[in-house]
Amino acid sequence: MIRRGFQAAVRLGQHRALFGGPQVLPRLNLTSAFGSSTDSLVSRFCPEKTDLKDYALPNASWCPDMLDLYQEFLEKTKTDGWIKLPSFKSNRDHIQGLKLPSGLAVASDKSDWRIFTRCIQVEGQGYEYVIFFHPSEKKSICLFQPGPYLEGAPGFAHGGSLATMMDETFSKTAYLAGEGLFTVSLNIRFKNLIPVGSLAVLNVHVEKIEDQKLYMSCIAQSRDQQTVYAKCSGIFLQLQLEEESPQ
Amino acid sequence: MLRGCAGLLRSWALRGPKRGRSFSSEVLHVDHSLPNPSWNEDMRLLFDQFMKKSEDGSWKRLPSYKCNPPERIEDVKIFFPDAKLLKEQMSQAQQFPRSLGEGVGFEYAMFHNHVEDRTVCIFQGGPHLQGVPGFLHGGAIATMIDSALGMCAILTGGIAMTANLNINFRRPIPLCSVVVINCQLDRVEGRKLFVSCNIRSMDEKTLYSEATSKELPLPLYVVCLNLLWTFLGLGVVRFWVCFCFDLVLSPTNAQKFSILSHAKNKLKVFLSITGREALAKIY
Repeated sequence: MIRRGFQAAVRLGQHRALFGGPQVLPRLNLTSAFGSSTDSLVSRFCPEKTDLKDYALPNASWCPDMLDLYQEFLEKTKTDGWIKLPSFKSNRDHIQGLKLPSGLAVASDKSDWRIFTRCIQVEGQGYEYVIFFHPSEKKSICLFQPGPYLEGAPGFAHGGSLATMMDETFSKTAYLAGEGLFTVSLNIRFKNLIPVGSLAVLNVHVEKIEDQKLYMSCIAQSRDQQTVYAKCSGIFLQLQLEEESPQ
Repeated sequence: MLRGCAGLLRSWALRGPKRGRSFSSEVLHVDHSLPNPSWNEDMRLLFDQFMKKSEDGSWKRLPSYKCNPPERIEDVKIFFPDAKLLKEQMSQAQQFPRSLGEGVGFEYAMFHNHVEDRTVCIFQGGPHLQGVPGFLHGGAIATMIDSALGMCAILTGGIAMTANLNINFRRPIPLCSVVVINCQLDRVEGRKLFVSCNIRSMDEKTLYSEATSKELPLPLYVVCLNLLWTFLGLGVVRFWVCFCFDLVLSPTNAQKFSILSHAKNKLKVFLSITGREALAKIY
C-alpha cells in the first residue's frame, strides 16, 4: 500500500504543469546566482566581435528624440556603467554555446526563426528599439519607437506592441540580472495611447529576486515624462541554461 | 450619430470594411482569417469545426483585414481630436498583428457566439514570433490575448480600449503549434467591461495561459453626448408615434386641449420614460 502511494505520488508529480511546483524544475545552482555571474552573463550576451547584424543601431527612421536620448546614453556607457545591449535576429544568437535544459530543448531549430521584436524587417515600419542595461543597479532603459505596421487604433500603437516591448525589456533584464528565462506573469495598466512614430521610454527595475523568480516593474512614458503610457509589473522564472556539448 | 458610430464599429467587426480611399483595394479586400497554404492540419481542422458550427447561425466567423476601415479612422478623429493622423503614416499603416507576412507571424481566425456571448480565436504562431528559442514570445501571446479580448469587448459593448491586462503564463507555447483562445465577458460595472480568457491546446488538455482584462468604452463626455442623442432620438420618435396614435383613437382628448398643450404633456411623459430607458441601454 505504501509502495502504491509512492508510485501515485510520482505519477502525480510527472503530470503537473511545468511551472506548477518548484520541485519539478532543475534547482538553480546557487553559486551562479550572485555577484560576478552578471558580468559573465553580460560578456557572453554582448560579444565584442561578431559577424551578426546588430539591429539596435540608429537608422534613418529614428525620430530626433530617439537619436538624442541614444547619444545621451551612449555617453553614459563610457562614464556611468551603462551597457548598450546588441539586438540580433534570434535569441539563440545571444546564447551561443548554451542551450535550454534537456526537458525543454526543442529538437529542431530552423534558421528562419526570428525574435518577434525583429520580425518586421523594413526599417522604421515595426519595432525600432534599443535597450541599455546597468549591471550593478539591475535596471534597464528601453527607447522604443513603434512604426506604422504596429497600428491598433488608427494613428496609435497597438496595446500588444507595448506589451511586447515591455516583455522583451523584462526578458533581457531578467536574464542578465539573474538568469530569468520565462515570463510567469505580466500585469499592465494602460494609461494613454502611444502615437505611431513617437518615442516611448521604458524604465525597468528589478524589485527583488525570491524563490527562483525575478520581480520587476516598468513604467513607459514620454521623453519629458509628462505623459505616462503604461505601468507594468512582471515576474520571470529563473532557469539555468546548460553548456552545449561539443560536436 | 455617436450611437451610430458604435453600431457601425460592431457591424464592421462582423461584416468587414467598405471600400476605402487611401488603401489599395487589393490590400483592403483580403480577408486574412481564411485558410491559406501556411495553415497546418490542426489549424484547418479547427477552422472546419467552427465553420460547421456556424451553419446553424449560433457562431459567426469574424473577418480580419490588414488596414483600419475609413469609419474607424473617423471615429478616432471624434474621440481623439488631438490625434495627428499624418496622411503619410495612414497610407503606410497596417493593422497589427496582420502586418507580418503570410505564415511567418500571426495566423488566426476569430468566431463569435452571440447566444453565449463568447469569442473563440484559433491561433497558429509562426517562426517570426520567437522568444526563448523554440517557443512563442511572451509579447506575441500578450498581443493575441489583447486582440481577442478587445474584440470580445467591442462585440459586447461597442468601441472599447484596454485599460488593464493581467496574464498568467502556465506553460510556454511551442513555436508553430495551434492553440485555442476562449474569451468571455465576465461582468459589466458601469462603463467598465471585465473580460477573461484562457489559452488551451487543441485537445483542451494543456492550459498555456490565463488572462483577465478591463476594457473601458467611450470616454465619459462621449457617453454623455451619446446619452443625450439617444434620449432625444428615442423621445422624439416615440412622442410623435404616440401623439398620432392618440389623435386617431381618442379625438376627444385632442379636442379638449389645444394641440400644443397636448403635445407638451405627451412630450414630458415620454421623455421621462425615454431617459430611464436610455440610461439602462448605455449602462
